[in-house]
Amino acid sequence: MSALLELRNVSKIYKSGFFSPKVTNALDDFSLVIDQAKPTITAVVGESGSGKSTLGSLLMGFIEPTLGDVFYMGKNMKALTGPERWQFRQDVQAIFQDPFAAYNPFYTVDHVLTVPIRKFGLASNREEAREKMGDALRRVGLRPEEILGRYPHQLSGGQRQRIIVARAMLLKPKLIVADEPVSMVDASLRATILESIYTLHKEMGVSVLYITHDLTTAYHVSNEIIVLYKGSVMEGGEVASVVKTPHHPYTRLLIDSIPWPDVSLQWGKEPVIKDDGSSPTTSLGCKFASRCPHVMAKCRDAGPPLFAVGAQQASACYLGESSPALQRSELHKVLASA
Amino acid sequence: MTAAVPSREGPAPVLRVEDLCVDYFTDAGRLRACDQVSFELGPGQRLGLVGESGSGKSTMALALMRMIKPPGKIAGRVFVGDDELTSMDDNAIRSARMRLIGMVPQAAMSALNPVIRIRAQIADVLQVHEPAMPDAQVKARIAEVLEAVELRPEVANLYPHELSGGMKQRVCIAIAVALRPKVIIADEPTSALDVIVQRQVMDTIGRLQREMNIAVILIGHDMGLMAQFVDRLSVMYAGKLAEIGPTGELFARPTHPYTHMLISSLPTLGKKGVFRGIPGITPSLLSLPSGCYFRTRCPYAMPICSEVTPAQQAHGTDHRSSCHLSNVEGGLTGRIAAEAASVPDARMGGFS
Ligand SMILES: Nc1ncnc2c1ncn2[C@@H]1O[C@H](COP(=O)(O)OP(=O)(O)OP(=O)(O)O)[C@@H](O)[C@H]1O
Ligand SMILES: Nc1ncnc2c1ncn2[C@@H]1O[C@H](COP(=O)(O)OP(=O)(O)OP(=O)(O)O)[C@@H](O)[C@H]1O
Ligand code: SF4
Ligand SMILES: [Mg+2]
Ligand SMILES: [Mg+2]
Repeated sequence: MSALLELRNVSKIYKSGFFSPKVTNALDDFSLVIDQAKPTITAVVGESGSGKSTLGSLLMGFIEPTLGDVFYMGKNMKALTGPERWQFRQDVQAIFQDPFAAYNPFYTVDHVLTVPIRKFGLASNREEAREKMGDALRRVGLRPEEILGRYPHQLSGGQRQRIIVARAMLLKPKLIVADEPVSMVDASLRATILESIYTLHKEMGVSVLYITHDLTTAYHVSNEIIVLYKGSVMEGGEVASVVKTPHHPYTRLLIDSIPWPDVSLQWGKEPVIKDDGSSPTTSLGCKFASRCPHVMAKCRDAGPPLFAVGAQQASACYLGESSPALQRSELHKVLASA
Repeated sequence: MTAAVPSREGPAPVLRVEDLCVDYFTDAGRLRACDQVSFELGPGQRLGLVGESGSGKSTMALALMRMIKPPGKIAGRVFVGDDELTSMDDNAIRSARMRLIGMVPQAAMSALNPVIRIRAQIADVLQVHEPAMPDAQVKARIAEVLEAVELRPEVANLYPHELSGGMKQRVCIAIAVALRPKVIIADEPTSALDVIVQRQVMDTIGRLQREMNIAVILIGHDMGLMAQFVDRLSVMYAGKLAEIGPTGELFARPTHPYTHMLISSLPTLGKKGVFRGIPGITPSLLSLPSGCYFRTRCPYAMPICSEVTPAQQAHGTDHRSSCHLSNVEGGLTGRIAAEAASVPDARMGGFS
């Protein structure tokens, strides 16, 4: 397979506080391959502070890893030439949480679309630019005549976010990193936005890294899922097998805590153990140990590797010990077969 | 129009709302954000209130506590037990608020004062209402309310930034129940929290409801949370109550198209990849359509819908909605069935 982007044993460590530096392992020995030939939607889920945005920022080249390397088209990001960097900026596009932040309230919404067209020279004249804008808007289910010429405040949150999706698409990227794209919009509009992202993935063959703490939508739009906890992968694999038969105790707790909109389902059977802070934040020991109902002595000594608990599912928990072990850098093996 | 609330068996309601209206005045004109809302709440009941952003949920909550600031105006009547909040003078309402109805306002946890310790923020509420309370008793009550929301007493000594999101929200709930009200209103109490913390916070609210027999109004737009938490559900659209009824019944047999579309747009565990938003956008409260406010997005709209405002109709006990389809043979259920028969999976295009 040809990798568009690859993270190889990447860690991002933050030190904050001057006198007694607090060390945060925002992302810990993480590996991932974004395949060029086989576009996929990969969901990254986990609680606040689990390292989701750190992962997104590394993929977009906003930050550099503390340890390990990032490769773009097989080449180390640190060694990219000017033109390669330019290409990278077209290939990888971002969609963020707050659709309003991308707009300038004094310009009509056309502005967010004309800027990239001009910057990347996507059209040779006004006519062509208009056509491109119209086309992009229609692809996300908006009628250009209803949208163009309006000011940001005259549109709903859902419409504003779909314009951002349209903008990302103008550049025909190969990967979209969508960091909580729907968490600030009304629940009743979420489906519409995710639907537009999904359609683009299908029609234009774009891969999507969908960062969210909402497992319900992750389950519905993505092919594969990665569950992060304190910077480490707890579980990963094909989305339906992970959601329907979660293996890792943390994933089980997460899935059990989803309030499904179905009155016949019972919410919350697994007990929640509060974090007493005794789990290690470094690579030693399992990071979930202090909250795990199944914790064993060895869990606190050394972090478990990934165990291939299913054909398309790997879990970093000793309860899966009887299954073949995988290196942390081999996560893509269970994802790629999805 | 006074809503025809069918008389029910059981204890007298703790909260009774009659034709509640709120008007705001903006540069662009007057807008009615809460329009003739009527309902009752029994002791210890859990009522959900859903509706899209801007539909008037927070406005209704604030109006129940008479907290709409002028030039905003409230009309209609609100009773808690035998006390009528809407006829009280300003002094009386100040002492009644929090004592009769407690509230966890929207985004409350980010509104906690960052430079004041938790102890003082709770003491504040107690002392405003009971200025004569001795210090020792204040101290005991603070420990007691913190315990009620499952926080250690030491939390009283901390500042808000030293707490996690879930802990901050618990402090807000502690403040809301500090005066042991009969009703609490929680306006989107968990929308900023992740699922596990959300579940823990909702467990706490549920326990308070059971143990102190407090009625709860839960505002939100997460239908999943509603399905799991409330006994009754009300749906708001453009300031009006579109439908209200027992949660299970609303999910199984909605009688308003908006409720139906809300429910069928939801992702479930069974059908992966099948969900679709509700097309169209909410009308502006400054320029509402004639007749039924939902008609601009309603797939079942009929000629009468643009002429006449649909009146509220009862569907059995304790279930009401406002839609002209209720007068049509077969009602909404009939339309949905006919649609499903003609084009299988018509609306639910979905993914994959
Ligand atoms: N610039 C920074 N300096 C110091 N610490 C940081 C920095 N950025 C992130 N962190 C820390 O790294 C960890 C992971 O943060 P990250 O933003 O990736 O989490 P997240 O999963 O995206 O969380 P959320 O759901 O809240 O967005 C957190 O503990 C965070 O406080
Ligand atoms: N003080 C005010 N003055 C004028 N208009 C207001 C005021 N407060 C709210 N509104 C308007 O009233 C309508 C209802 O607002 P409200 O905050 O009650 O909605 P909501 O259902 O709580 O929405 P959300 O889900 O976003 O919290 C909106 O159109 C809003 O813009
Ligand atoms: S009254 Fe008419 S427009 Fe309104 S919801 Fe019913 S069918 Fe639709
Ligand atoms: Mg983040
Ligand atoms: Mg609100």
